Amino acid sequence: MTKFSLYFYAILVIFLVGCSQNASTPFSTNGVLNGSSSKFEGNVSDPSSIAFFKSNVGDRVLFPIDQSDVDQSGKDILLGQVDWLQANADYKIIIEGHADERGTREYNLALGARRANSAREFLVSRGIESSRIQTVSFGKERPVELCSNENCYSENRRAVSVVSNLNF
Amino acid sequence: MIESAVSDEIQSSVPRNTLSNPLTETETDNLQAAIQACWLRDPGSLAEDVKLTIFMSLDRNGRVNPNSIQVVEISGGDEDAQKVAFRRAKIAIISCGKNGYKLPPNKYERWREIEVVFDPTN
Amino acid sequence: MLKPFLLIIFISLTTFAQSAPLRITITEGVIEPLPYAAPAFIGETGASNEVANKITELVKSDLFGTGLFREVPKSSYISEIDTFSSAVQYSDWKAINVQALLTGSVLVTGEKLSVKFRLFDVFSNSELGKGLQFNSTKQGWRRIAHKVADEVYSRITGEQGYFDSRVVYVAETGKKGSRKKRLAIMDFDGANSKYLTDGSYIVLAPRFSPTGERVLYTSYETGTPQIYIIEVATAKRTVLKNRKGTMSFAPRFSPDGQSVVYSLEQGGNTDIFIMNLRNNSSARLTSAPSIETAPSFSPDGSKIVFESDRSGTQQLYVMSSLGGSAKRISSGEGRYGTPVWSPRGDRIAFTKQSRGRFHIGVMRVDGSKERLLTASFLDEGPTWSPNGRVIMFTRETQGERGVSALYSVDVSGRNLKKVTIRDGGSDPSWSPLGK
Repeated sequence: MTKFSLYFYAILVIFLVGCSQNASTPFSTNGVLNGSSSKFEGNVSDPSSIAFFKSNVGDRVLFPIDQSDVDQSGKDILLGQVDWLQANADYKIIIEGHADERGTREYNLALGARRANSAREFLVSRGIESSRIQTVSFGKERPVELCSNENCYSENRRAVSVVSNLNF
Repeated sequence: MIESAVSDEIQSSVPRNTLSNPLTETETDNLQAAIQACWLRDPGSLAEDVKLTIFMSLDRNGRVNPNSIQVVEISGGDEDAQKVAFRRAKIAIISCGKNGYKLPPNKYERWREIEVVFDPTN
Repeated sequence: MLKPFLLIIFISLTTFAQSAPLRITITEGVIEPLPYAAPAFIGETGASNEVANKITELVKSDLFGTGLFREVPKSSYISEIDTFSSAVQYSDWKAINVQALLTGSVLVTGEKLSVKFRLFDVFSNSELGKGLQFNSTKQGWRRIAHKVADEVYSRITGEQGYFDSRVVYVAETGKKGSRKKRLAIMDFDGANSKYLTDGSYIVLAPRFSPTGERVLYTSYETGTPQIYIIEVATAKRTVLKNRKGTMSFAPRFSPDGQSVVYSLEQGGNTDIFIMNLRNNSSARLTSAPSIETAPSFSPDGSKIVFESDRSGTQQLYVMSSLGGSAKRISSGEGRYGTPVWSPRGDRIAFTKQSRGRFHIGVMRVDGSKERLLTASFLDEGPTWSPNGRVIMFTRETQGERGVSALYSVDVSGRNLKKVTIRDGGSDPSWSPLGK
């Protein structure tokens, strides 16, 4: 490991431990972990960095209205995630499921969970150990796009894979 | 000869106005409209399930005798709802009749006693 | 020979003379508020006047807020009410069309507060129910005013009032997409509000216990949605026992307060479970690969209404509170969710989505007589007032600057209005009447 990446990981650990409510869980309590540590995601040209994972592999799968089955393009992205996870065996993954705002609160929590689980099952079916994967749903609480039409809704109906090499 | 004797009997022994015509549709419609204007409705209330019939008697000026007001029959709703429905119906009758209902004086015998059915259930 | 003939005519004419009472049927009326008068409550000492006026104004505000009462103002009065025990000149109040007259008196001695009131049924020339007296501390003046208003309301409408009650909800601040959400509690009219959580974790959908002392809610405090119970008086919270790798949400108390019905998600599937709070044992009530959520008990505890997409779209179902087969009750075009059983037991309120709009609606418990009360970009999550007359819900506006607010509406669809709170608000839950 280079000196740079040693420092990087040390700072990442300090940052994440300092910021989370409960140091022993990598889950964010406010759904804002995703993106908050962007400074520490490493260099995008480093194939083992989180930055690379997000921009080159693709960290999210999108879904049509009410659907939770992963379509072909989603599968392609997830296959890329499988490869990356197999190459970076010390990383674990939290899959966050989300829904758009055109639904009631509890149903959207359940729908987000279905989506996260669909992505999870695909990863498991391609050989990722289920102990490396956790899922959570944010329902409609954390949209990434804020407008109220289909352009934004389609981006919000997603399962996002958040990789981390902290223990959980 | 017999006919005139009969008609003499009729003139002297039977009170005037008994043979007056029943109220016309317009006259009853007017009475209905008059009471309707004071019948307060509350669509969310349990009293809206209550159907009741109220008896009242009126003087020749069309004014209601408040002591004559009584329930002839009542159905629907619980006891509290029925009390409220009765109160609303009673107020409707008294309020809009404050100055006397406009009813044809020559037909007084036809309307000196009235039963008003209040039916919100439709 | 003529005489019997005349006699017969005479008899038949006299019987004809006793006509049956005229019978008319009234089916329509006017939907208008009931006119009443509430002359200012009398302060028994100079020092009591300020509180007397505040109490009078709050009683009037409660009654006005229902949409069912209209105050006949002082400028119209013919008689005055000078003392609490003076006789009422009914004809003077009838003349200005006042149907109900409220009088009261207030005495403040040190920190103690005592309030008396009488209510008169003007058109019956008598009191309506007995005069009552309420005692409390000076701080409790709002609650006393609400209790007086509840008495007036219940004597006139025949139904229990709802003014001495509270609402727990989620207070929202910050931008859409990263909202800070805090549990908050307030009087039903927005007064006396305070936060119960600190906003460092997402909280959703709080629900009162049957006594109003505890609140169930869903929290991301540990990072995934789990159910917590919080004591309102102390803000002390405990998490409901849960299994690792699962999510729990959408909790509601049973009417006896002993159990919690909720949704449990495992492996992507969500079903309804019930937990006994005494021994923390839980049991499964639904078992289907579809989403089953948003359960709500009937007031007698025998049934549960819930939302399921087992038919392909979200619909409402009723099952025994022991689980078992469920009967679908929603039948219109669109999706139905967030069902809540009325405290009266006769209706279920729900959220309906149809043709791009959201509605709050009510239906009979067998699904009949569906009626939509509101329509907007996003209305959801109804809660019933303790007397089953008013529904409070969340209304959210669209776009990047969209915000959530609390609104209320009468069960007849009338009197829709916004609840005044400081922050944005969502997911309200209405308490039972205070004791």
